[in-house]
Amino acid sequence: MRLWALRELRETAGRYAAGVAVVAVVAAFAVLLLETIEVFIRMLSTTGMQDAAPVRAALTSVGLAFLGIAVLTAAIVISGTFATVYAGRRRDIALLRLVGATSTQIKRASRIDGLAVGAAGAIAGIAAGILVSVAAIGILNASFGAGLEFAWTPQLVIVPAVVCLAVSTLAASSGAKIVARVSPAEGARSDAGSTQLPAPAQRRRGIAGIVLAVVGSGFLALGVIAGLVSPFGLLIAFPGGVLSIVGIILGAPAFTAPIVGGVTRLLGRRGSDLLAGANLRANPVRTARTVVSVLIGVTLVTMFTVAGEMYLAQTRAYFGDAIELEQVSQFITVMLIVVYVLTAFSVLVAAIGLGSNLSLSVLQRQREIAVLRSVGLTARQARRMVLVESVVVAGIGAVLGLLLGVLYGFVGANSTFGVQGFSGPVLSPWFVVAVLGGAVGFSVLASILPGRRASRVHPAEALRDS
Amino acid sequence: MSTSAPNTVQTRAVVARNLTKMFGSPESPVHALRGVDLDVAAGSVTAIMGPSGSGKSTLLQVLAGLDTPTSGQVWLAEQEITGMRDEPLTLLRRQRMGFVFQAFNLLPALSAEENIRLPFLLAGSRPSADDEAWIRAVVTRLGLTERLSHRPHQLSGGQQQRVAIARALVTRPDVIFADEPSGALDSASGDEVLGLLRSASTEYGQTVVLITHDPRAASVADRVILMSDGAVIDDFAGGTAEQISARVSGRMNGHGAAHIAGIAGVQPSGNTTALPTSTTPAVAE
Repeated sequence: MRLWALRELRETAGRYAAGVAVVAVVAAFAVLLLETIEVFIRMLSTTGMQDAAPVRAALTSVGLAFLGIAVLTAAIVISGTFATVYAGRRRDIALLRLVGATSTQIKRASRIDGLAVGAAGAIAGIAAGILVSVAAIGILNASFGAGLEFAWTPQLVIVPAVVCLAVSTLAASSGAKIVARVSPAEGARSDAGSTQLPAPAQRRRGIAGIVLAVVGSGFLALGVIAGLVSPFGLLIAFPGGVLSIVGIILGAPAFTAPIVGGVTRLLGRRGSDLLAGANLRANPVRTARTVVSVLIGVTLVTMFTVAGEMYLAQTRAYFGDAIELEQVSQFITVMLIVVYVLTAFSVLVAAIGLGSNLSLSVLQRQREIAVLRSVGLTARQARRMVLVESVVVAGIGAVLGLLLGVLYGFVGANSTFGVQGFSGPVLSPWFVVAVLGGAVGFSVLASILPGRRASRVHPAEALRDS
Repeated sequence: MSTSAPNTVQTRAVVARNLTKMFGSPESPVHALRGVDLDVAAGSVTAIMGPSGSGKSTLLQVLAGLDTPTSGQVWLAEQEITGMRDEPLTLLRRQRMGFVFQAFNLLPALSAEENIRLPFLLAGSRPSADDEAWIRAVVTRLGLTERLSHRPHQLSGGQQQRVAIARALVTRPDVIFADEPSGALDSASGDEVLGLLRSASTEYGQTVVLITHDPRAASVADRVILMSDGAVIDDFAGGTAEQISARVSGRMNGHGAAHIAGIAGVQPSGNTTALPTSTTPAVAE
């Protein structure tokens, strides 16, 4: 089994590229966070601050929260990548099961993939993180005479390495969960077969998702209520947010399928558009995975923006005085910029997820695309088909992400600042335009490479045996 | 631009002249096709037979414009397809060729009906009233009326192959290329599929080129072409499976043995074997 796993890994290494990239982003993010905190603390102690422990604790917990968000996003994206790669090996896995591999062995083999992806990503990410830190310190020193020094601690390597290996291994085994149950009989079949998840597994996930979302929503509501009397309502709302987003991700196919169905039926009569719609509808799980990766990125950005705007609006109402308002507004704006920078890593992870899902879906439909090419799909139509899939999925993900982000931002703001008065969500129309525009723009970019790959599928491949 | 196909009396759906195809490095080339000439009469069923590695699949790919020959020319009806650019060639396949493959013919995302209408779907055009009537006739003739809303994985192998034949027929193409269409089926479904391809020719005058190694499949053909080592080694009017089987094994033993033993390494590419048979194809210019 190990031999097979290693050989598959070597031969299809490219398919894991997105996973490695995501892990690397997380590792680099962790290094940068830790290094920033470390440098900042050392700087404080040189200015004569006696006890840096409370500052360190505060900065570390904020840093960990954002690292946690990035890790969660990464876990979702990587497990999606693994699941898609394994779904493409369904026949091979069925064959292995046929000749006697147990499903435990299959899952164990996936751990090798997880470790390899985690290790590769961690090495690249830690190296990149340290390089960027050193460069940033150099630039700060040169331009401001900051007199900073690179602060080396073993945590700089240990924390990202452990986090990356753990996330990647867990993601791989969760991605392998479904294929590990593939019936050996599938190995003996020669037909196209159904690419769907087994219904019971899907249903279990759906139910778990609903339960988590309901429980999470309960916490969110409690957080808002608690926030009216205490600024610590966030401590109740935060786990509610985590539970509900995990629930939404688990149950995603259940609610994305009808939305995708409705939207794709509105597409025009062009052959490529009709095919794109049929593809998205035909594999609701794969489609949901892609929607989710966009949704997470948009939700995060929207959440912080809405909460920030609400706080600004509230502050404006609170301070009549223009000078103080100016200062506070500036402070909030700076905070928002810092938050955006911290969130950018998660958004980057989500963006890689969209691109990798598209590529993998083209890779796995190679044979179908060859059949289409042989019966008359032009190269241009193939590219357009992938483009339409990408834009539809990103559009749906962006709209859902906006809705969720508004909800979370609203809950977050009220559970923290509700004491000063309950307030409704604030959202600038420009922000909505920017998010939707950004999502469409990025989805167009993300479709270029997979679209080109689809357009280059040789029609003669349809003649070859599977 | 394209030259016209060499003239003969009969109407021909497909014409090939001096086709060669080489793979691999120039030092040790693999000759998949060694100067093949072929004329496929419109409305006929032609079976191309040969063992694996004989070049029959390469020939099909080159005839269908799915692969480019190293040298030589191919015409579909009177239009030369060799040297055509990808886009017009793709449109040509959509409108004037039909394909039936061994397995995995259909798109799992589409229903049987959408699969059948795929050429129209790709064109983004609504079929004319005339086309609609023809689609209905084909669907009825192939017994698919009850199955139209099914997805491919809900259909048996034989039903899937009937959907593929319907898809190939709906555009009334100049030729249908079928690659081992019964290869993945049980013998009853296989016979049914082959019978339907035969009927397409008999009832609708549809030209069919069939690739097979199975004499039973070749027995539906009007004409059998036998390939070995990249060249046509026999060309005869069809017969029963037994007759074809006997003739093929005779050829492969006699000619084939000599061919494989001595000539294969020495014979220059592009040298057509003389054909001591009845329906001799037009000789190359």
